[in-house]
Formats: sequence, structure tokens, C-alpha cells
Amino acid sequence: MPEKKRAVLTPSRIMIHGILVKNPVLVQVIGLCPAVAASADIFVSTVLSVIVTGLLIVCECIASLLLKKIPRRIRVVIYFIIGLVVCAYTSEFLKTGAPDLLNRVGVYLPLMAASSAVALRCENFAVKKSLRLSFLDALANGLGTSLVLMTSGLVRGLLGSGMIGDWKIFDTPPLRGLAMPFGGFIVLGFTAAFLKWFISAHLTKYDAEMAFGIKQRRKAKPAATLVQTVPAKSAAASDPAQPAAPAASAAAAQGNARASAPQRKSVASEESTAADFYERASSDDPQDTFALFDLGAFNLQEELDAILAEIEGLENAAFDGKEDDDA
Amino acid sequence: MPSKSKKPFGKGGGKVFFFDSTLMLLLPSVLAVYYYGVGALWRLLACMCAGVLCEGFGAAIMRCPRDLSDCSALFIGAATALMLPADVPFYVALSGVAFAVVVVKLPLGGTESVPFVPAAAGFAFMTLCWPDKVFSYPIRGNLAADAARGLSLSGMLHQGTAIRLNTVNIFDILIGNTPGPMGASCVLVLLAGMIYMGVRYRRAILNTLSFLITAAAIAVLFPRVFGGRTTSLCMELCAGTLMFAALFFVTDPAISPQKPSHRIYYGIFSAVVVMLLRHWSNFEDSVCFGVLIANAAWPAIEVRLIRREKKKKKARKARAAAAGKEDAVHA
Amino acid sequence: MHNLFTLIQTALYMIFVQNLVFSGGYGSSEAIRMSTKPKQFAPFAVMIAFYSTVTALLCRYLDTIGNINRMGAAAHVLIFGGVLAALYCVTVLLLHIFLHPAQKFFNMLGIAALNTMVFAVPLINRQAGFTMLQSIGTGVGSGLSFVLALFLVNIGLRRLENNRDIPPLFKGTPAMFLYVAMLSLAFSGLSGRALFA
Repeated sequence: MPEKKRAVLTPSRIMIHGILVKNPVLVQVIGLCPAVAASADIFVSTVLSVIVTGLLIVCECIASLLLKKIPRRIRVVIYFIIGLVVCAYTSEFLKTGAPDLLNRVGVYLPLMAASSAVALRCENFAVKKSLRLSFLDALANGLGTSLVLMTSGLVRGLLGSGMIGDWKIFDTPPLRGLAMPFGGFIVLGFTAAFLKWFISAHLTKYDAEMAFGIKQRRKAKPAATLVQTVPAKSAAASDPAQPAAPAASAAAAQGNARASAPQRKSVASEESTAADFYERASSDDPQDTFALFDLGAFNLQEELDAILAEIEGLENAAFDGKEDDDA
Repeated sequence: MPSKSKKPFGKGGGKVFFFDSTLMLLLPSVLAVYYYGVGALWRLLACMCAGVLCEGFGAAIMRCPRDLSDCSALFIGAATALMLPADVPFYVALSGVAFAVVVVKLPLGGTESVPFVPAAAGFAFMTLCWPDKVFSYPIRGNLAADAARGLSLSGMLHQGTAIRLNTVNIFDILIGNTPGPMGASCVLVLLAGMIYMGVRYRRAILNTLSFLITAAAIAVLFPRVFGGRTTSLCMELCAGTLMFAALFFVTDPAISPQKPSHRIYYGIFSAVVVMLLRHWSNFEDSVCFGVLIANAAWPAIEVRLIRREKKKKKARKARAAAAGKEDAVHA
Repeated sequence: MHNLFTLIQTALYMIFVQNLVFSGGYGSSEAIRMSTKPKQFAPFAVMIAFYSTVTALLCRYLDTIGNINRMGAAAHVLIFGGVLAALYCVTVLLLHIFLHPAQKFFNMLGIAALNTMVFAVPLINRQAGFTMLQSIGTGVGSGLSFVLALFLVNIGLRRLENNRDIPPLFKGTPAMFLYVAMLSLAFSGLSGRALFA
């Protein structure tokens, strides 16, 4: 679909996409571990930001230069090994320079080697594009991640302990919960909402490219389209909601075993339940199931839409079908 | 709107339900003020005002539809306050209410479709932030700042010590005259609330009853204290916020299933989770965490129930069709 | 018998009390992204439990060797990472030779092996000073805890998808983050504090 292709990749576009419109953490949902667990302190956030940006630049450049011919399953482990070396080197560097900081970063520093941000950006972008574009993409995504990490570190530090780094800003009672992982998720949620508002208010040019899931939302297929998959013969054979006419019953009973599955589908379109919802989702076309690394940019909402759009409202029906509570 | 959202309340039921719930909270509130004086009243009023203000301003900032007339914000405020000690610092109570409204209720769909009980989430948040303040109960009649703190029933259960019958009277437990949450520890008042609920919402009371019966069974079978099974039963049911949660959280119409049999299963499931958490948790009272986990996991069970029922229905239909055919042949 | 009990106890502890995904945030992006593919839960669960268990076991075994045990943190990172990478390469090679699965299968294998959670397990084991049995228990438990997380997040995403009352500003990833935050909050009730942080 040519009209669906992304517009020309200018440097400014890559930067804005990486930092804001397709922010790796808030929109693509990659590299959450440091953002959620480790960014309760602005110093730790800074260290992790620098590492993730550096790692992205190194890995994307290497991927773009050297790894295009190598199979994907081998590339993945190469990114991991590069990450390991970078993290071990940084760890040694911090040990001599700032051992206190190393203690604070703790186990999260080596974990950056296995960060999904690096592998996914390299696979989605760097191995398909030139060195220059890959470098820009790495920089943009690094900055995008850093922006989230720093915001999170600032907000959680300020609300969680009343401190920015080691400086006491105010003496109000600290919300210690915010320093825990669930606090990280909450801050990410509100930051994502803020980013969404910001893009729709100030970056109207990119409004249509927002991948939070609202703009791309596909309309639900009407119930009739579900029935289209049912062979016309079996769908017309009998209406399972009513008992078959006696004359046709023998024939219908004969074909019952074979026709039962398609019939169930046509029933589902009318009196669908949450059970169908799950069944269908799990028996979905496996075309796209493993393609996590294949996607242009992982878009959670599109993924979900693909699975869920045609069965929209099915779960609701499970509730709507029941009588109202006696008030 | 392409399709309507699930409306668990029926027509306008949500407004009525939370209005009724707020009404039911009135009696424990009065008792809390009677026991702990005007300090409890101020905390209660502050929490209710905070609920309404958070809902108003939060909805304006987050641009979500706002409906203050459903009383849900008032209910969240009052319920949060009643689960706390009577001399809890104001900032603890207010932050819990703000969390429940701004982080849970408004962004996740409002009164009618929020997937977690907001007040339970608010209490869980306060527990994690200030466990020392949330579970430090004053002794009635001695509210001075440096006064000795009382050991609540849930604290005794947590430590594994049984009630000594000469110090704690069963009657005192029933009327809430023990150290504990200011509104959630008076069992008689909560029982009265249950009767009201049973009259007004015949189905919702199924959740409460199945929850309480299961919790009682677990308390009898697996006692945490050495005082015998009866003591365990009495203490587990009356301790902490269990009964409060059974009445107000397990019945939350946005999450509870609608079908009577499913309601019973939901009550049982919630009780099992809550009691498991009570046995394992590090906190004195972890009912709210249990409610949250039950909220998160329940849809998976409900889906399986619905699927099983559908299969049964289909099998029954097939049998009926076969029987009809045989009859036709005989005729 | 006692050994089995220790193993099961540690595994249960990792699944419920210190669920790595919710209490530590490890592997949360993988959990959220994989939770949109319910059909792949079973193979993915097997893979991730296999990798976390075998990595934990191998790394703990290596750590019993005196010279390795005395090395610094950076060396341990390299060694543990090397073990994980080698394990991944060996499985890929074996599968390639004997089973010839599709490229998509290898992609999933990559996600299951090289993620922050599997890599965190040996590091946590070392930090907490777990014994060999406990380390195996952690490996099994964290694999299963990941599956539990997948399952709960999957339910949540469906509920959010069908929830039309979510304000437009929060539709999509913001609401999803808040939902996962609530799951994390609920699981924190068991532990009460962040894990090894």
C-alpha cells in the first residue's frame, strides 16, 4: 500500500519521531525496565540515559555498517554482546570514578545490555537503512528514552522523596510509593497522556502519525462480516436459535457435526460472549504472531486492533445480555 | 460512539448504588465521631471534600466527562477515611483519596467501567507509602499525640496472638470499641448495612455473603492464632477492613458480574485471594490488595464460566433436538 | 524431600511474592508486548522458563568455582551474559540442525532468551547469595511469574480495549501503563518493598 508508506525520512522527521511522536518508551513500549524500576533518582536516570543513547548509537551504526547480510537470529545475540561489553566497561569506569553512583544504579546497569530498545531499533531500522539515517535514528531514540527517564527521575525524586538528586527541595512528607515500580508505571502513564496532548496541541502536523492508538483505530466490522466467513450452505441450513423444522431435521442432524463450527460463528455474531472473544483471539490467523521484530514500528494499539476489531463489543455483550441489577 | 460500553448498573443504577453506599457509610461515620470525637469528623469531611474537588479539577484537566451527581467521589472519600485510624495525619488520608480519584477512577473509565475498586487502590497506595501511620491505631478516649497506641485485631492476627478474653470483650468487638479503623471495625453497624443492602440490592448481597462465608470457612480451617477455631473465626471476620470490603468493595457494580451464580463465584474467589494474602502479606491488613488482585484476575474466570455454560446449553439443546426427533419417529 | 520443598518454596516466592515483572519491572516491555499474542503464551512460557532456569543453574554452578567467585561485578556481568548468549546460540544451533523451525520461531526464541528478566535472574541470585537449589527455584519461578504477568496484562488490555469510557487523552498506552501500575500495586502488597533496589 504505497499511500501507507512513511513519508520521506528527513533528519528532522526522524528526530521528531524518535523523541516525541514515536517515543520508544511511551509509544513503542520498549525499554521499560530502566524507566519503571530504576528512574526514581535523577542521577541514576542520567547514567542510564547516557548508556542507552551510547548503546543505541554504537549498535545501530554497527548494524547498519556490518550486519545487514547476517541472519536475524545471529544479529540479536551480537547486539547483546556489544551491550555487555559497553556495560562492563562503563561499570569499571564508574567503579573507579564514582563508586557511589555505581551502587545506586545497581543491577540495572548490566541489564541495559539486554534492553529491548537496542535490539528492536536495530532490527526495525538500522539493518534496513543507511549509516547516516541509522545514526540519526539512534540519537533520536536515545534522546527520546532519555527524556522519559529524566522526566521520570525528576518527578519521582521530587514527589517520592522531596529531593532532586541529593538536594532537599521541600520538606513535605514523601510519597514513598512513587519510588516503587508501580510509581514508575503511573508516572509513565501520565507522561504518555501529556505527550499525547502536547502532540495534538502543538505538533498538529504529526497528529495523524500518532501511534497511541486513537487515530489508527479501525472501525469495528459489522456483525454481518463475521458471517461472511461461514459457508453459505451451512449458514443457511438452519437457524440454531430456533429448533429446526421436523422435515429438515434429519438432514440437518446429519450435517450437524460438520456444520457445528461455522454455525457457532454465525451465532456468535448475534449472541456473542466473552468466551467467544477469547476463543477467537486465540485462534487468530498466525500470520503476524511471531513478527515482533518484523514490524516497522511496534504499535501496540494496531496489534490489538488487528486481533480485536472484528470482535468488538463481544465482551460487552456478555454483560449486556444479563438482566440489569435490581436497583 | 461505535458501540455502547457495558453498563453494569442498568438505567441510572450507578447513581443510586453509590448514593445508597454513601448513605450506608453514614452510620459508621456517626459512630466514628462518637468514639473518636471531632478529629474523626474533620478527617471525614476533608476526605469527602477532597474526593469531590479531585473529581472536579481532575476531570477538567484530563478532559474526561465529569458527573459529580453519582456520589461516587463522595463515597471514595468517606470510605477511605473510615478505613484509617482516627488520628491519621491529614496528608495521608488526602493523598489516598487523590490517588483513588485521579490515578484510578478518572483515567481508567470513571464510575461505570473502572476495572479496579478505586477506594481499595487508594488504601493500598497509602499502605505502601506510610505503613506505620496507616496501621497505628489510637486507643479510644486517649487521642493525645504521644499516647500509647492500641493493638488492633488485625495486628494481633498478624503477630499470631489471640484475643485474651479478659481484656477484649466480644461485645466490644461487635460495637467497634477496640483499636482499629475508625469506621470499619464496628461489626454491628456493618451488619445493619448488609441488611439494608440485602433489601435494596438482592443480587449484590450475594457477593457479600459468599465472600464472608468463604472467608469464615478459611478462618476456621486454617487458623492463624492459637486460641482455637472459634476465636480465629471471630477475629478474622471482625479484624481490619474485611467486612467493610465485603460490603462496599466486593459489590462494586463496575467490576462484579451480573449473573447470580457468577456473583457467588466472584465472592468466593475474592475471599480466597484475600485470605491467602492475609496469611502471606507483610502488612497488618492486606484486604485491599486482595481485592485488587481479585479484580485483575476475575475476568479470566468469568470467561471460562461463560464458555462452560455455553457448552452445557448447547449440549442440552442437542439432547432436546435428538429427543424431539425420536418422538417424531415414534409418532 | 527437603530439597524439593526449598525449590518449590523459592519458586512460589518468585511467582507471587516477588513477581519480577510487577515488583521489579524486569522484562516488563516484553511482557506487555507479548501479552497481545495469547496464542503464543504456551511456547513462550516454555522458552522463558527454560532459559531462566538453565541460565540460573549454569551461572550458579560457575560461581562455585573459586576463581570466578572472587572476580568483580563487571567480570560477572560478562560471564553471566556470555553464558546466556552461549546458551541461546547452542539452542539456535540445535534447533536449526534438528527441527528446522521457521524464522518466526527464532524471533520468539530471541525475545525469550535475551531480555532483561532472564538476564536479571543470575545477577539477583548472586546478589541475594542464593544456594544452588534456591537458584534453580528462582529460575523456574521467574519464568512462571513472567507467564502470570503475561496472563494478567492480557486480560487488562482486553478490558481496556472494550472500555469506551476511558477519556480520549488516556486511550491507548497511557491507560495501559496505569493498568499495569495497578497490577504492580496489587502485587506490592505481598512484598511491601521493591526488589533488590
